[in-house]
Amino acid sequence: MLRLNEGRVAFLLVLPTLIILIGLAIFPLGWAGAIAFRVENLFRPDIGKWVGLRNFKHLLAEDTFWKSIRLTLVWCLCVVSIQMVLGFLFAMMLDTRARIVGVLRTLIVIPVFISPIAMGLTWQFMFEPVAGVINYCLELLGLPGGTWHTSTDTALMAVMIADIWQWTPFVTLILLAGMQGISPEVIEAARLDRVRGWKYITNIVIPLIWPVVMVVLLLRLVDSIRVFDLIYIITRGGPGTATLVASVYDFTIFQAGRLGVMAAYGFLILIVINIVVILFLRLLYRQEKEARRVQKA
Amino acid sequence: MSDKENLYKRTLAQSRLMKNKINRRQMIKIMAATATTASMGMGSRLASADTKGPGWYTNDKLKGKVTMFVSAGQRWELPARGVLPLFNERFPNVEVDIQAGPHGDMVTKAMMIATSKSKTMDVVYTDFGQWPAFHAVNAMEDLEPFAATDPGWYADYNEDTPTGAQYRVPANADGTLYGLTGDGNAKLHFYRKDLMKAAGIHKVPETWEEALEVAEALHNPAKDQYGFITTARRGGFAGWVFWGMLASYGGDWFDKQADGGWHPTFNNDKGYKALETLMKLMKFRHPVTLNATDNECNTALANGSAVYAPIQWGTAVLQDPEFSKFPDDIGTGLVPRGETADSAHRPLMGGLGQYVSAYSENKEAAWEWIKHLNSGDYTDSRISDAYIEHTGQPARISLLNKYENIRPHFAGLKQSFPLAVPFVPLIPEAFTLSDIIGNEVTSVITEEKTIDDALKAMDKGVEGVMMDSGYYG
Repeated sequence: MLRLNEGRVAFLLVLPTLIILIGLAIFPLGWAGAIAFRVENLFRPDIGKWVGLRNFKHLLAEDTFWKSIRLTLVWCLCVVSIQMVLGFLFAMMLDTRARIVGVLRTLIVIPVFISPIAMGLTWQFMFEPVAGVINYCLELLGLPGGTWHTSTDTALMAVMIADIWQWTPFVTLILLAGMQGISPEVIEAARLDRVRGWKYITNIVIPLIWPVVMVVLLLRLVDSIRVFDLIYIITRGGPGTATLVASVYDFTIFQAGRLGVMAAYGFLILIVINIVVILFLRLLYRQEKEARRVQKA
Repeated sequence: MSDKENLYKRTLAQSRLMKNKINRRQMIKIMAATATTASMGMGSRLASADTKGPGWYTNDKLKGKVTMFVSAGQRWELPARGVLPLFNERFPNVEVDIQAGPHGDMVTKAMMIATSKSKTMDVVYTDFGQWPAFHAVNAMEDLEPFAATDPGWYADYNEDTPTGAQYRVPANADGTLYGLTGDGNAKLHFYRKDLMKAAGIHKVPETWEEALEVAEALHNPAKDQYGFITTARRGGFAGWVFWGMLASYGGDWFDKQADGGWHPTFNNDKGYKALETLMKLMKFRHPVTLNATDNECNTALANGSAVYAPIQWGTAVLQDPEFSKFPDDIGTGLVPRGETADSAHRPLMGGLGQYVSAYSENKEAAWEWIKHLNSGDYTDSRISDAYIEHTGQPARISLLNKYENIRPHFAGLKQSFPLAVPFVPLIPEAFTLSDIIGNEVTSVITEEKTIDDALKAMDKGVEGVMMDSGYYG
């Protein structure tokens, strides 16, 4: 009879997860890695061949590749920072005991639950420069209408507005939860010490909710790096290459059937984004360490 | 009640039914009323029994299920659903399952179905420009043995469908039949008759120079009226606009589309002239042009903010009173030609068709279904009536003639088909190549590259793909 020791039991228990992980993550990643070094065309599956680093060299020599990376970084930086600032301000405003706050908290969360496809289509119609409601309202106010998602100059900003509208409430809710977790004694002590306004925010609120800020920042950062649906629905990466962020660019390469180039791009993006995220996280970790040191002092 | 009014009422009823504005009972009442009030024409044909032609037959012994993948909505899914009840009448033991997906994903999805060798799809209804790719992976069934069982129907199909729209290997009238192209389209010239008349322009532009003059004359952004629109979205859309203009200047994709050739020929005077003309037209562009597909173009033309589209895929919606504000003011004609010696009207030809999957387990039933879907009066006039009524746009010349009075743009299609060239080269790599040239066109329009640099890049990119595919070393 087979005797199961603790190690074997542990292995058997982990095995289903391991199989799923290998099947759904490691194997596809390895497969994509292999394709990245080959010519593979969706429309000509019979011509696949090994080409070494050619796909990577081809991409690195392309202006569009660098533009897509630049756009992705600009997107993350702008969208996440604006959402964090606005989310913090709204959370501060909602962090009171007034009755209306409960209603506002419920209302503010609505955008988060809207499907990105439905939301993208709605914003697309609203942004429409000739017949859209935004320009109509601006005209009523005597202001000039914008070209929004149809111009290479303003398209990225237009899509950012839609994303900020959807995700700021999420940041607000998480930060609000953090603020409401601050001990009443601490708040009372600050009040007795007459710590108010800017000082109260920077010396009491931010240090105490810093772990929450870190979590929400990381969630939004990862989400914004892999943004696809909203941009794809509103602009499909255009006009021209104005909103061609990494994920959308990669999809357009797939649509053209260039599977090898698509896989190579995926790997390059993975490397670039990992470097950026690691640097960013290190920076945040240092800041957190510094904040804790100040708190202790 | 005229055929046009009749069709309009019925189409409106269907549209309202789909939007849940009316219920099915009300819809049936409207359909019955329009069918009985018409003393002649389509309405009476739908109601009468003497609609059957020599090709009509039924078969209750044929059994099985046919699953078809098709682009969702107008022109493809709806006409297929429209002719299905009559198919059920003819083949009561064959079940047809129509699986519709977004048109924007059609090319990649259809290709994945083909390469997966899946038995789940018996029929794939997709772009005929993509068929060489399906043929290269042996996904298409040879249809000659099936067609041979009904020579009368086959002769009718061959005589009625332009050779350029049929899918045969090799691509000539004697080639083997691998698919049926029921849906035909061409790049057309859409203009506003009323505005041109008001601007003192009494002749539809023949050349690009004249088209430029019209675009300039009609351009009035202060009144939200833009003199030019086309499908200039990055990728294939922009590529096909350029290729359409290049063809009209006498240019081509390759030096020769045969062994010893396949070298791209964009970087020359014709390519330069085509891109230069496009850039001149872009001065009068509607704001959505840079990122426009057919949806955006048609919406802008229908609401009147865009007033001139000299190179735009054919569509019924612009002359449809439910969709367009100017159904009677929009005219259609041939895409302009260049002014040089090699120039001519060479509209691009597109369209969708069906092939029977080589992996299907119900090939006979699948064949009967696509044959029914592509039938005209030879089989039963109710088939084509239902096809047109449900927004179909046939490739058959007899049907374009027959329904020209209710679908005015059919006249433009009929005029274009004999002159047309395929919208992509008929090789498996067509969509990859379209994307390459389209991306370069976009880089010129957005002023990221000069015309010369973009044309050089087109040649280089296309040559790279052709080399990888083994056309040359």
